[in-house]
Amino acid sequence: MTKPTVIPGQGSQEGEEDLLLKHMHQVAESRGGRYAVHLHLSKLKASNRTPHFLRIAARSFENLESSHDAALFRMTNQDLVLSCRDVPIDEIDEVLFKVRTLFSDDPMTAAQEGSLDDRFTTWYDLAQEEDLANFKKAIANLQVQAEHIKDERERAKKAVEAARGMAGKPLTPKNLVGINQILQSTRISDLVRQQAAVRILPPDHGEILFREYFVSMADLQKRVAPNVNLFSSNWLFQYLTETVDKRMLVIVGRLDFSRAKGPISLNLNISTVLSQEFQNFHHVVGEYTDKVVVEIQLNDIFADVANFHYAREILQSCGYRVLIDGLTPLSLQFFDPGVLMADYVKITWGPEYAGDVPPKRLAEMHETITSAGKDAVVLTRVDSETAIKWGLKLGIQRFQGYFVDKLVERMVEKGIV
Amino acid sequence: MAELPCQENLLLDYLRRLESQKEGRKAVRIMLSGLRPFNRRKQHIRAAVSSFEPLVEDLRGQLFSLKSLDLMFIFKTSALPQVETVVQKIRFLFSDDPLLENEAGSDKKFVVWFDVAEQFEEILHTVQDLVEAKTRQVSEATEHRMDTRAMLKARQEKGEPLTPAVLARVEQALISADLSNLVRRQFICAFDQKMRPEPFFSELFISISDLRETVVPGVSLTANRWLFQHFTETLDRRMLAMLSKTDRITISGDISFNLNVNTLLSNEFLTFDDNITASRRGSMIVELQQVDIFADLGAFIFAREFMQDKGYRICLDGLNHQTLEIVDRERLGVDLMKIIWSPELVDRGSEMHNKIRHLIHKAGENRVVLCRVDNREAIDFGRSVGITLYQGRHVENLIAEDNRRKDLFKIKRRIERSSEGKKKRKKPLE
Repeated sequence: MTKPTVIPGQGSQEGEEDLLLKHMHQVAESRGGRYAVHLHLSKLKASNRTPHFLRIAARSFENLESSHDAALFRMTNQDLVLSCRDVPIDEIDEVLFKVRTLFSDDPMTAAQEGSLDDRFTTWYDLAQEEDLANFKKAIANLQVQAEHIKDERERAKKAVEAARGMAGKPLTPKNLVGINQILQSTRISDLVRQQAAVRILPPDHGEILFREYFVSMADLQKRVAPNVNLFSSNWLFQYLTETVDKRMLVIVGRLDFSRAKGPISLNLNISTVLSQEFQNFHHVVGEYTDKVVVEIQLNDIFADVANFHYAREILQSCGYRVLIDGLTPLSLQFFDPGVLMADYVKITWGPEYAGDVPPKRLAEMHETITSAGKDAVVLTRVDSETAIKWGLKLGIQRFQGYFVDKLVERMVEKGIV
Repeated sequence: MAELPCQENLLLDYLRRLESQKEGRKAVRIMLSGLRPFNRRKQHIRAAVSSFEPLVEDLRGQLFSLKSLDLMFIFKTSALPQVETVVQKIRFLFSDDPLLENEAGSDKKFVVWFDVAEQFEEILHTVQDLVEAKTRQVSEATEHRMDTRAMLKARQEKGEPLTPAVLARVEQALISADLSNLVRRQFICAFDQKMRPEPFFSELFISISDLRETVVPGVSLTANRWLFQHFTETLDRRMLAMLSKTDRITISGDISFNLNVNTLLSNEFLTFDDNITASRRGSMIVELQQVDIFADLGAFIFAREFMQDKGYRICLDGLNHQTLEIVDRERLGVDLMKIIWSPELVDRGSEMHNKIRHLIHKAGENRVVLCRVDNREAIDFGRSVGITLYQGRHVENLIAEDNRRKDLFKIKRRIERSSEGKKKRKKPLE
């Protein structure tokens, strides 16, 4: 089985949707034993739809394509469509199973293959008129989506070019040198934002837990490296945050802690906590250490757990509170944050968790949250009421995010904060 | 500098004086250290301490407030009812804490009672341990803290810290460098009853210290965690290139090597994978660092499924006594795990030992490796908790010794055979 090779979404005149239609046309005469499987990869959560994930998923079908009458089409919306004839279902199942396990952390693959709840694949028996008609409808649908996506891409590209936003050259050690130097001397105090974490008390009350001070990274990038994507290397970005830390300590250190109403929080690397700069900051804070929460990233902790415990003990014994940032509902499945003995634990919400999480997993998460101390858990990036409901269901009462900002505004207006 | 007497030392001193009159006394230890942090704030500790004050004022007992936040109260048996009331009050204070909620079915207790006369030795040991732990903490403190003095010291001992500029230079140099002479190989072995090594697989790695001496003498490549982590991604690509050209390094048996999750998802790896035969995949073990795994768990899970499906095995590298307590390894779904040897593993006591035993039991035979084994003590410890696989300098020495023994044996056999031959040859002459 041959089909023209096309790199999807890379400017080919004829999209894979068109090729699929053409293919359907070619095989229209002999539909006996022919069937199609539509894999709805576009419905996976965003973090699972990165190009290298999708490339690897598509490669899983290579053997099938070379040994059978089977052809894989990669749709513009990232779905895959497999068309084949007389291929033993068991062999297809085997490959589908592999692909499912690749995405096993995704809510999309939670349901059993072929079960009523299964939204991962749709099968079409093309020998049946009804299925054939439905399949054609599905392709038409994919074509519409493809057009839409292409328009969208075009617009996004222009927007990026105009704003010189996140895209750009990758961050390398070479350009890091210059960026780091600029970062040390450029004014950044005007890029510092605040966001409150709030304890929500029914029916319509709230109290502010702390206000997080942070630098908007998108704005920072525009200022210090408009042509470089600071997020292209996880590790080099982390390195830059060490410099940001030191600038932040100076900026936040200018606050009058004796008159600050509530606690503030700021993100720091463990190496920063153990640095001279933090000692200077500590000097400024004086006796008001209980008004400062230090947020530490989970991956920083896993880089050296002993060092974390050492820093945590110093901070806590001085009266600071320690918060662990960067957990997700996913990471809760792999370890119990309670063991890290922090005062707070921040879990990052994502809309992909809104779907149906199997009850067993939900129960486990509930247990983990109880063990961490539900009064210690803050759900962050809360952008909708769904997120708050999800949190409340798990016993979480503390929230942070755009949606919470709006709530806080309303509460402030009503004078109930 | 003279050290101020801390409560641990005072307690030890008090116990020694008590030795001659230990009858009619009891002790109770309140494990505030086991509470969750939100229950261990200053006001909580103060509340607990002040509950004992009336008893102390009445001279019914002595209270020691330890560095770990635990309280130790030693009192006359006649005061037991009052002490029980106080303890009950403190329990009530923390009744919402998981430690108290789960106390019934757990060995972790909030309150431990002692009879001083009967359990004197036990108390004494506990306190001695506390004093030692405190001294150790002090010495660790000087190790971690990066003040000016510490930085100067590190610079003298380990070299200039790596900067982005130097890293850029090093990475540039590595693009074309042939690193095959820097590749080292260490065997992961099991041992039989006579301590003879049986190789299980071998790890190939690029010696960072040799690399440093060759490329950037005087610079500490590991000084900045994040820059070093980025650097390892460059090394990954060199390693893959070398493994593709097997004529450069002769490899026999199963091998393992370190890679980053990012590398596994890169084009370089896919090309590497395309070019090796399916059967070789089965003989390869990819070692991943936990910092890398937890930097993006989603990517790790994806990569793990992809790799295991291809037939590679995955090894979680770099577990230590602290991470063993945190990570749920079963769920991580790796094939092998490496625990870094440290005397701390022994010092952590039976709770840690049981944890490792449990881990090995769950993981199955020959799944857990004790690495950086540099002395016999490590192997003895490993055996005591059921570890069967070892890696490190000491293991290499044992292999060398075993090889020498085998060589000697061969020579001996040859001498024997040749002398037998001489005898045989002599015979017809007779």
